[in-house]
Amino acid sequence: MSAFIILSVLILLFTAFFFIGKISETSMSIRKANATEDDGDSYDDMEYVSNINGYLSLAFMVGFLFLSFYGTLHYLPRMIPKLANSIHGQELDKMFMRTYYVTAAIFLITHVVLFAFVFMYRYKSNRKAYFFSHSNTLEIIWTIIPAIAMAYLVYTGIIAWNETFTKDNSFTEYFGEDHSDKMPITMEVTGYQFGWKVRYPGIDGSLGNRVIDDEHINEFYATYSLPNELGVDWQDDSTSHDDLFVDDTVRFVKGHPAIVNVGALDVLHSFYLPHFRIKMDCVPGTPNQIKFIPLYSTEEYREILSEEAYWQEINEATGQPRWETFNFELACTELCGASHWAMQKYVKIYETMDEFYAWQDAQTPYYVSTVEPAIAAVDNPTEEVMEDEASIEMAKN
Amino acid sequence: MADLTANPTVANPSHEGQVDHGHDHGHHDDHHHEETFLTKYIFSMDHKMISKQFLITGIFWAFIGGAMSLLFRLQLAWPESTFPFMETLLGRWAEGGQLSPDFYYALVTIHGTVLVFFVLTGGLSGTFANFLIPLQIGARDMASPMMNMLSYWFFFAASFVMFGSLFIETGPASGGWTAYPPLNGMRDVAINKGSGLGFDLWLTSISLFIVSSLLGGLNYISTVINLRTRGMTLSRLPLVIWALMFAAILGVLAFPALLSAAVLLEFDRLLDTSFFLNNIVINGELLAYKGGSPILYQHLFWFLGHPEVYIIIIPAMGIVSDVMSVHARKPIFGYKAMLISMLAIVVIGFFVWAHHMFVTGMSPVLGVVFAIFTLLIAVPSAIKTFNWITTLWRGNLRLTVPMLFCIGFVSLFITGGVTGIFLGNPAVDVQLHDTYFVVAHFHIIMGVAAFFGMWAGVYHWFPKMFGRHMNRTLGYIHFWVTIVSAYLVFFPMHFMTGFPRRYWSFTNFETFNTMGDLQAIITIAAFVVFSAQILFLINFFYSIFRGRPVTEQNPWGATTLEWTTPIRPGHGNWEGNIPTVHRWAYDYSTENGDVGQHVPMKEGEAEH
Repeated sequence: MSAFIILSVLILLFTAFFFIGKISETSMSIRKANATEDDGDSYDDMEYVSNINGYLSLAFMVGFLFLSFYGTLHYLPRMIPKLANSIHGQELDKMFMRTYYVTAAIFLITHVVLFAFVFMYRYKSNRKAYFFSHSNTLEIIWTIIPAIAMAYLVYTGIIAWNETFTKDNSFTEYFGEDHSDKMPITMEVTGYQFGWKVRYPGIDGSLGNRVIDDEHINEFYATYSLPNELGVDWQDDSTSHDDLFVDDTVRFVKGHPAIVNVGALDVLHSFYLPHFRIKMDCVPGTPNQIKFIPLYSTEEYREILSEEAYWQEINEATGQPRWETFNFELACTELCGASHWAMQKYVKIYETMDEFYAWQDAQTPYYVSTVEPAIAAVDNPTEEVMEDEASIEMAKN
Repeated sequence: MADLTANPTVANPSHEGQVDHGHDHGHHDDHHHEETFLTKYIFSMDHKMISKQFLITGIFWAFIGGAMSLLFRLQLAWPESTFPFMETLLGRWAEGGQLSPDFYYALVTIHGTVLVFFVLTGGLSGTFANFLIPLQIGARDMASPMMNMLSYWFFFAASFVMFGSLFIETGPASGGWTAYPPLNGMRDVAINKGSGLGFDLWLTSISLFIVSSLLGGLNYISTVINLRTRGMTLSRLPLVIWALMFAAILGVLAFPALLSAAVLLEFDRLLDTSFFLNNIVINGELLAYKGGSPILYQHLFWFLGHPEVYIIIIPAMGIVSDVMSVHARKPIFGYKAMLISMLAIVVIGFFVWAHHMFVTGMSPVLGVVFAIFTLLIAVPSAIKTFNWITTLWRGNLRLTVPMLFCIGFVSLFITGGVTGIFLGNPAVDVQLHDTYFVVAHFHIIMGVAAFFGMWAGVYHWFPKMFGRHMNRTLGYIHFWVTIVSAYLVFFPMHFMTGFPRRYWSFTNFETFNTMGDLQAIITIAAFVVFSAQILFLINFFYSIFRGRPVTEQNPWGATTLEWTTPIRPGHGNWEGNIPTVHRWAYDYSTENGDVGQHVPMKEGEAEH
């Protein structure tokens, strides 16, 4: 029923518009027929319509400029670039704002001039346009000014870019030579349809070796009926046996460098941490790495948000203010198939490394929980699989 | 000669200097008596008819593509509601009245593909290059009318295949209009519904389209170079002709890269080669692909993909420059500067492609190089903008419908242009890449702005195309509703800075679930924009058959050669000799009034 009503209203509207158009056309030809002198089929009311459209242009300019600046201010608290939670992210945000000030000025000035000219020089039958075909001085001026503005932006942008993405993993520029207390967390995220395989090293701090070949992936799967998509070398017990596979939340520590090795199994994905200004494509067969240093723990970030009106509103789902349940999130930003939109994971930033270690200690290594039993079931089918506390402890050490 | 206007200097082609191009004589008579419906309207070799075929096919696709966007906008605005009509329309693709993610992505993919290639390349360049090049340079037809006809029919075949792909069981291509492998690189692996037959058809269609575009492009270039009438030196060419030629050159140089990417991709899919695939693990199985690079495809794709946006926008710039000059009654300001800046855009446009790939993990040093070129291209764009604005200064602006679309174009070009400065800077792009900010940027600058250029052209040259006027009042309504609601659609997307694009729903994320009302506003505005286009459609087709007839040869008082032809020119364009050109195309409001290009110089008159 409502669809029918909407449709009828639309049809009526179109018919009305159509007849308004027809009538204005007809009235014009009548006027023309009454005119003493025939001036061909050009409109004789050019001054009148130019006047109307001149005023409309002016109104449009005011409305458009007002809405665009008002909208920017209004939505600013909810826009993602509000507060970057990483050292490089704050640099990138400064670059964003720098670009914003330059472009907002260009946008404002050119729009005012454009529509002011439209209004000022709208058609008047007694006005003659001024023949003004070129001016080299003017061209030079408005070549140089944008060139300077662009040079400024590209220069500052490249500095910010280099400081962020061309550094090695020593982090001396942030912490000085001696930063043994700033232990980096190296981990690995691998995108697949549709989720993320998240692997953390155990206490030894290094990830188990991966070998992408038939033997480590297909033959392993065929032999032990356990998929080994990453091709982790489970024979090598020096590093791989204490690796943690994490299903729920990605974890880092405030002030400690996070080194993320990103990759993909099947198709392209993109590792996107909006609050940290981190985005890196995950490419099957081509490993990428990205680094950042978180500035605030989850708790601290919530405190910061609690000062803003939007985040103070009550979340209907939880009955609490929004900020209280706030979490950082991980998303995919490269179209990867039908559930591209659903590759969500939470990200937690710990206050101290001890909290991180405590979490790490409480986990069971994937080798112990899953790989060992699968191997044992095939290799020694009769033996009972040892799965008590002692074996877990052993594997961790 | 048909009727003359009140202003004889403008519309009276000079017959002095008899032009004796070989194909001049008797051309007209040869063709008229044997024309049938089939040769006149279907397999026509008249550039004017071919141009109309491109235009109407483009309009068809614009409505298909636009309607698709409405469907997925409904999903984005109200992800938790159901729309029973959708199930009626789409069947199993929208069970229970909610768009399935598979079909959502198919709609997004086809929307992008058809608007970029079929509407804004085929529909825009195809229409105006065909229509304007022979008429404005003083030629009877294109250099090769046969190739020109083939160009349209390859376009038609591409359209036919693409349209057919909408109805197959597994659905049309759904891996994005950029068609990145591996998502689109494997045919028989069940990773994506649209990556099977649907994508084969997509590749076929795009390959046909590339053939069409190359046939057309080569033809446009050789016509402009070889078939100019006497006196039409390159420096007297109207800017729109330059623009169309530059766009054709860009296409001829860039499209082959895409064709090679398409062929290699199809090899990967059908013959299991590994050009773009490496170490793929699906369902725990390592597939046999070894050693290729998905990033290589992106380089090939964007080597076309970025020049492609200039293929779209440069003809629009050309149209706006000329139409604006006519209705401002002033010469375009800085003809040479406009020309040089256009050339600069063409050249630099080939060195910016990897700014689409800042976060693929390519070397940060490369990022710097591409950032410099990308921001460099803002300079010629700024020059053009300032020249358009100066063209308006102290003009006598006839605010006709095509003129308003030109002004709207400049506004959109500024708005969409400044956001490009954000995206071209890799440090800023990290956060903005593949988010709604990008969607806002390219829809404003190469979507809506290019459409505005196209509408300016359609409203301006409609009298020449069909011998009738479009209804002016409907045109004004079309303009004002479109500019307001198109801005309402795309400007708020800037506020969603950092929201990933190509999301079926944001409800999974707390971070991206903060602007529900905004999504609804955008969707409502999108419906309003689409309605205004229905109004345009009614106006367009009604006016073809029942519009007010054109009674004077040069209704806008323009100086270019197309207005010296009869009101309804036959195949061959001029009944007598082709006029000789004596001056540039912008002698408006001179001491001698407005002077057509075919009018000889007066004693002592200096060329501008």
